[in-house]
Amino acid sequence: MGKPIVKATSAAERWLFRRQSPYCLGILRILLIGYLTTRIPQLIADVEVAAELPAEFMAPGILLRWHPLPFPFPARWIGGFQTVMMQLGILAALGLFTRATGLLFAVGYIYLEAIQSAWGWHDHGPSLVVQVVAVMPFLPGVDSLSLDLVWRRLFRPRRGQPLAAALIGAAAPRWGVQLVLVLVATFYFASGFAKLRISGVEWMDGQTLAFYMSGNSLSSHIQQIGTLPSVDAAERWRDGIGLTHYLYGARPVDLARRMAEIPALMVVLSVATIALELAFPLVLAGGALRTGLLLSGACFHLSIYYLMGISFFPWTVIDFAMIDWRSVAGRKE
Amino acid sequence: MGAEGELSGAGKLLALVFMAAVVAPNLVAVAIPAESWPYTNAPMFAHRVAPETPRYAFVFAGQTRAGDFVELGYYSAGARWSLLRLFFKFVYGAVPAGGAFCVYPDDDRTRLEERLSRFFEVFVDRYHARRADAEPLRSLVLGVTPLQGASNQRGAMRRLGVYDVARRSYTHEWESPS
Repeated sequence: MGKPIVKATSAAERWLFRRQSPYCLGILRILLIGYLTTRIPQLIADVEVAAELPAEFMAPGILLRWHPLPFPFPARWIGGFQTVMMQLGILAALGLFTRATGLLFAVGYIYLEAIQSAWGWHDHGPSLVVQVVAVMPFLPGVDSLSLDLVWRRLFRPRRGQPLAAALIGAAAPRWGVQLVLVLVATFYFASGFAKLRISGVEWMDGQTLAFYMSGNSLSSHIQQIGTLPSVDAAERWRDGIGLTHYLYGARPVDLARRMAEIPALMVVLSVATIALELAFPLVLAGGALRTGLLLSGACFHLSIYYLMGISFFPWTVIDFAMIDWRSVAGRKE
Repeated sequence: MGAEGELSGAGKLLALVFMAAVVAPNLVAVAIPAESWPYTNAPMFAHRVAPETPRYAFVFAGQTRAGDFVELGYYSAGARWSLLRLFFKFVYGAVPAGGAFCVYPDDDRTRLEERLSRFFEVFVDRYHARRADAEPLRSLVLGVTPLQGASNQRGAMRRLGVYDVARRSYTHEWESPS
């Protein structure tokens, strides 16, 4: 009885604390914060609109209620806040005072996304991204590929250390990389699980995907609301219907509309979607599974963006950055 | 922790606590399921939609003092984005209790009328402030209309209640047939 526990503990310890090259976190920091920095002006523009709205038109989530910065956003902050956030983003992406600038960028970025998400969305896109941004400054090895390491190399060179090794940084405990992967896996799994929990296996009959890919979710400023057949009669007291959810919007291209007319294709893509999302926790096994799932996730989001106009680009960036490229190249730690 | 040294026991414990604090709320949100941004059970696109699935839209029909009806969109009150998502989830209220969008599991008519009174009070004030040139509203009817077919044709509106601008009060009129 004791031996399996010891073995499991030892395996868990290796999984979390064995040292490895932290370059993944360096790539993640550069690409993700770099990309998010380019989005700051748009976020500020949205927040500027929100600043003029009454409190009754907003529904702040738990993070915004606890955030140290004031809500609603003070209108007089707008210009200065954008300048500071852009500068912090550039510094954090390049890795100058990496943890400090990353932390300050995270505080501001979470604030902006929280305001933008305070109007009734159920959008898990920013939910994953802000959590990755929030934990990044605390992860071992996040300063990999940073100006901080360039500085260190210039002024405190270690004899015999190649430049590339100095830039990548010392091996760090794996828990930083594993935490990001756990978050990614949780969100993908939650998405697949929600489809089965709410709609059952019928979600895979292709009809839902066909609905969104055919453009029927677009209704010219009309927000579509849905109901479920399972709603109790007692719960229909407001309207006799029992409204359960709102529908999302997709802006499909012609190719997607033509694909939506092929029922078998819709079934295959629906099943593949659920399979990919539910299988995502296997990314934690590492190796080929990690590479395959992250590459599939990145391709999944790019194809959704192209076909349906739904952007999960920061997820694509995270998937791409977290691929263990050394393992792909056949190099061992 | 030294630059290349092993993590101490306390360091490992701290890392574990940090990881748990980050991951646990997400797992709880998925398991319950619950929703408070950024924690989510990720219900985007999770509700099945088939051609026969009923779909609806809310209608805000303002009645002017002259007696004319004018349909008010979310942009009428100055929101650049779809206020109807917020209205549906946080003001009107979704069912069932425990469902992905449900915020008021113990809701009743009194609470519904209080929320809608407050919302429409602000909505109408904003509308009047933005549209000073338009005929002032006397009341605002809340309705729901079915959307039909691929072109989302709107069917007959079901009247749910009315907001009286002078009294600043919403009365829910819908009575489900017993």
